Amino acid sequence: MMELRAPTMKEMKLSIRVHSHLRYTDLFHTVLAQVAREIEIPDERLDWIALSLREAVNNAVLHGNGNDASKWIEVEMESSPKAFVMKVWDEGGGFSQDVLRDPTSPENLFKPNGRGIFLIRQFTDDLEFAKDASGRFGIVMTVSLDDKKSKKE
Amino acid sequence: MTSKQVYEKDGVTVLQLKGAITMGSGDVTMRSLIKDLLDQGKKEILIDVGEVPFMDSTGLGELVAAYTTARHQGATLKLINLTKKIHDLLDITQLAAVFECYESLEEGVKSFK
Repeated sequence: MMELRAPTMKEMKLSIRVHSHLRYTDLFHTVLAQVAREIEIPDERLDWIALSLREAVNNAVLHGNGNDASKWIEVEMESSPKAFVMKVWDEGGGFSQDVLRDPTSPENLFKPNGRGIFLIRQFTDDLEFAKDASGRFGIVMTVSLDDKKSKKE
Repeated sequence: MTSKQVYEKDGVTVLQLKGAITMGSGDVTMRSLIKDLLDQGKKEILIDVGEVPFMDSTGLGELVAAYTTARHQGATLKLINLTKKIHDLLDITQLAAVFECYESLEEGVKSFK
């Protein structure tokens, strides 16, 4: 399912729902790049936003849905003049933020994993974890399009 | 990554990587490439990331795993030709304090002498 609505250049909304598989991470990256052109996100900023989206999708596939390709993930992108919001939904139960460790602390620095959510926090202006009405778990990432409010660039 | 090349420069082994290093981007992981070099007895290794435009947390994890694997086997692994993006990623994750980084192949090779 893909629905794209674009009343103005700065306002758009799309939703893509696919089976849960890592092969779709590149697809979402490509879609994001197209959306970024439409809403005029600069290339240097796009790379960091794309990194955040990729981390969230990989997390949903591997951890949320337990690498089970019969499950679904859904990515929503919504832009207004002030903010660009990406939501990544999976069928998992979510996780407690208590399990998130600081990958920059000395005891974790040499661990090969555990940096995904940390990177999302660095490259987006707001990160929330959500449950929707059907019980899906979602990562909601907001990027401010108001330069004065963005913590990047 | 899309490709890799291994060559020797003044006794130092250089692993030149090309392409993004992300989850599922290659059948051969950086970790296994380094392991192959270590199995061949290589002790001084430079990873050239000058043509790696993008790396995610999996790529960073591969770098860290390659570094620790090398260290445990008495080898030294350093990075050369970092793009600004890769440099920023290492800074943000504080891995810049872990890796010795050099701006060119010559400087990297010289650092082993």
